[in-house]
Amino acid sequence: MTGTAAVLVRRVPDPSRLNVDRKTGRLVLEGTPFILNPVDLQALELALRTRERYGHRVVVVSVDHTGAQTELHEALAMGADEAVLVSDPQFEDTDPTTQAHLFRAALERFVHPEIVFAASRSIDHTWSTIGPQLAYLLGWPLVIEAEELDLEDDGVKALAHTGDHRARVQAKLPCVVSVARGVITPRHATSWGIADAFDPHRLTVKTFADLGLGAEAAERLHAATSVRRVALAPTERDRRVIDGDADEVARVLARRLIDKGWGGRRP
Amino acid sequence: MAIEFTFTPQQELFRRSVRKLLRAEIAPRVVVEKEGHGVFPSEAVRILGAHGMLGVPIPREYGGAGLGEVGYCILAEELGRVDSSLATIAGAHTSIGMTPIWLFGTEEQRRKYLPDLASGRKLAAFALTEPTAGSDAASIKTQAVREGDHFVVNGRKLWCTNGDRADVIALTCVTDPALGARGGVTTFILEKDTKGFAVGTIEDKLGIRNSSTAELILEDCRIPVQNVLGQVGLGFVVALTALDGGRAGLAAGVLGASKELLDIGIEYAKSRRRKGEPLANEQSIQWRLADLAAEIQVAEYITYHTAALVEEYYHRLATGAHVPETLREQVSMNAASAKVFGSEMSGRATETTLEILGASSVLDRNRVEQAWRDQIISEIYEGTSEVQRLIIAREILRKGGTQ
Amino acid sequence: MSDAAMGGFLDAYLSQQAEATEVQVADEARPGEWRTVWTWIERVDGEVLPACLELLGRGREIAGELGTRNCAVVFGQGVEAWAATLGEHGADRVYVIDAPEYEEFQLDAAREALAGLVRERRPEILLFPATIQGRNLGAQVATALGTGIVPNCNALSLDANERLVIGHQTSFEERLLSDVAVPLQRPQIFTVTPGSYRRPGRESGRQAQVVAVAATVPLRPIQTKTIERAPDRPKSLSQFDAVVAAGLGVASRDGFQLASELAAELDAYAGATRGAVACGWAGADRLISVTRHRLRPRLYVACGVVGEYDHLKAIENADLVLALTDDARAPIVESADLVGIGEPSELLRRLLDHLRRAKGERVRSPP
Repeated sequence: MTGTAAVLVRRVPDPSRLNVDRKTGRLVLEGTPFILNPVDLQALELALRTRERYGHRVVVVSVDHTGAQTELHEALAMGADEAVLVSDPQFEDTDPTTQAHLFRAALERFVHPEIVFAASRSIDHTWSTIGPQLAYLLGWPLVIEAEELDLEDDGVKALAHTGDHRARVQAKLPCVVSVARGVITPRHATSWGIADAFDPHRLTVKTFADLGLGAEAAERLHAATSVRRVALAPTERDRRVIDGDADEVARVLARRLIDKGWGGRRP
Repeated sequence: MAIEFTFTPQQELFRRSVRKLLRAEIAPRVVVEKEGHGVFPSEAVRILGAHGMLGVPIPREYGGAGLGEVGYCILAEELGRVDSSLATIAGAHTSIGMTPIWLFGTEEQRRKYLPDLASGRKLAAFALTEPTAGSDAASIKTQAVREGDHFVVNGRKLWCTNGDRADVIALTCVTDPALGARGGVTTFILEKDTKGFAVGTIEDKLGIRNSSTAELILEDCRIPVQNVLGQVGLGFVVALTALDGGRAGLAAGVLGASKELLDIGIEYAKSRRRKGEPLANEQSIQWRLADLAAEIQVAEYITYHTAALVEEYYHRLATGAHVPETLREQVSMNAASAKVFGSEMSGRATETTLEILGASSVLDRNRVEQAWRDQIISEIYEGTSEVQRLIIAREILRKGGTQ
Repeated sequence: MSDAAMGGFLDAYLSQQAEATEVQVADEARPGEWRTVWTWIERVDGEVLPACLELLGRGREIAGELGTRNCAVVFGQGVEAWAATLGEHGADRVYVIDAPEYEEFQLDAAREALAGLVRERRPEILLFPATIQGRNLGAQVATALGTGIVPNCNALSLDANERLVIGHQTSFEERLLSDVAVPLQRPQIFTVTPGSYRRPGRESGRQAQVVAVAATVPLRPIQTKTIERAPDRPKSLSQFDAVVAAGLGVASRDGFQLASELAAELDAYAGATRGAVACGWAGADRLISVTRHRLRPRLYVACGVVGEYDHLKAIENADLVLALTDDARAPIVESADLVGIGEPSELLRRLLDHLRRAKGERVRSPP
């Protein structure tokens, strides 16, 4: 493979700085710092390691409605060659089911990758479906939960998962690779990487119109899922203290554990 | 707004990246040794070097990141949060060891030394202080006598951070005793394996134990003429310029340490309870935290303002552009103020946090206890607080007021 | 779908609400309507995943409130023979594809077959366990059908009036609770974290109606090939769902050993405090401290742990903290959800006893 690897990335609110409007039950995003979804960084890392061995281009691709570029600079600082951001206010009410179509169009128009890396999990859960969904739309094989990857003449061999068990699998190019969480440690940006990341030639911004999908498609962007309400998880613990005869205490504790699914259950 | 004090997106990205790197790879490696000299954090230094953190202000063309003095101070602040020893090692290397070569070196010298230093492949140090010349830098006695195409150096240097393992040392000596500070002092680039150079005692210290502080012994040490930095007689300017700028980095380091101490104090006060109420609800605790927070605000502005001034100053020096006297004065004044205020503030920060944490703060190998021991040196090295005050006094008296 | 249909954004959307086929719609769904609750049955080494039975149980409750049937879907070889016994776990009906090529899970084949079945039968709700198989299959089926999927729910509630299931997620490192639904498209697809529900009790002898579906040749070729199996990945500390840590309070190496047994019983990581390491009961690599870890286990059991600041910071994001201690005023108590007061080793011994005795039956696929 001599061409391009794309990495799907998404910015998410910093989990340690979430802000919820209790009246509306909505996340307050203004003033909240964002980060790149941590598992996306792991996907990017696998793409970069593969590049180090095989020499292709790595392009990070993001679909967003705010036009924010900071997180993409971070990906460039880590070592991605280029970044493509498709941004349009119309994307505000989308979810991965609808975004998958946007990514597909962006990849086909601007990136032409032979391999697409995506996270298999996400800090906000929703994003975790993008890999398999995009693979389906592209009609490409999906390598599930890859930990290691080798490129061959026209295909990939990977240590991955079949859905049933962990295995060495094989797939032809072009393909989508979803990257296992927690196995690959992403590299840190270097000062040199950061110095070079803000070169304007490396970041391209496109709009919905640039995708060439037509006005009717815009009407079908609406998310299929709808978040009805959010709330911050309570931090105060509801404490229950059990005192008394040792055996009785142990019995109550055991009951509580079992009720919550612990003890005697199969992993 | 007429006066802007915000960081650029690139600087903010740099800070976030540095913080991530330090938290993931450096903080877990920090070891607090109580016996012996402490342990030089070789692995941590290597990791910093590999990520380009040992040449931040040096221009790209010489292998640095070209992120300027402001970028360097961001790194120094984040290092100060994590480990003062490491901040000291990096500071001695970048700020006062390597920077003089960039500012005053010939193109040849820059290309010969900077790339290795900026990547961390080699380590730098700065040697000025002697047994009889501490605050009074002008009374150094190490002599360098010209003999053909070498200078022969005899003398002793003290308190040289990184001195025991630096590959390259900016060494300041007397070349003409009659001229004294004005024209009689020269700075040399001394390479580690030069004949006649030896490392003497390595000091046991109360704080910053993991940084090595060494005595250097020069006995008929022959340094080639090509290793004169700047020119013969310019040594005092070279050394003091480095120290002036170095104060910005130092101020950033103690700023970071103070912020970390405040964070520890806040977290502790919020989570610990006295008589059923969090400590943070007590007014006396709130006042102490507030005082420290206000001082940190002040220190932050002056530190980065100084960094921006130093950045401009260095840029002009390095490119041979004219340096207005006012710029030099501003650097001097701000650097001294930032250093004295910041280092003394960090002393108050350790006290405040110690008091809030109470008994648990003096537990063995506790971060606050270590911070208390590390803090003291900040009021002493790179010009004691008294020296900073003299600098400031000289400036304001000369001017006759604040204008 | 032909290659021509594969391309095109609009095509994918238009295929969403596929024309109703008149095939065996039975008494539930009228043309254009979507009815019944389906649970995907995943099997591991021939055994039905307990998580699927949890879902089947929940599905039954939901179906009951909606006045519709609770169904299961299972593909594999020889499954038709025992599919009816899923009735004992709450299924009214089981859709089955019994064919050798479906025995080992293959994403493309399963997706094609399941999507086709859904288009035909029009379930309104489709549930998957949030396993690797469930998440990937659910995601691709959602796209094939042009509907929404709510991943990684830890609970499902029901708005019976709207016939809407609401998926409850805990995200952002356990900091945010979200309620998410699929208001318009059908089916509503959810993947649910294993362990979110209790397995319902077994109703011996209850049989489900088995509907055998013909195995179809996948319209798209099988695209990934398995070369060979690989052993399971060894877990790192942060991947353990549960952690058991023991401190000086367990009083002896024997007490520490009990804590290790509890860890084994709960499939948990066995950790130690600074004090326990200092006593030599555990190696330094077992130390749990904030400078080394920020853990987020679902369960954390602290045995004889006082609760030093460093240690507490490391575990503060645990879902459920259980502390065994003899000191009601120890700092650990403030960070715990459940506290057992007593001599820690003694409590450990008895807790192990109770857990071992209460271990439930495993569900096997009947021969």
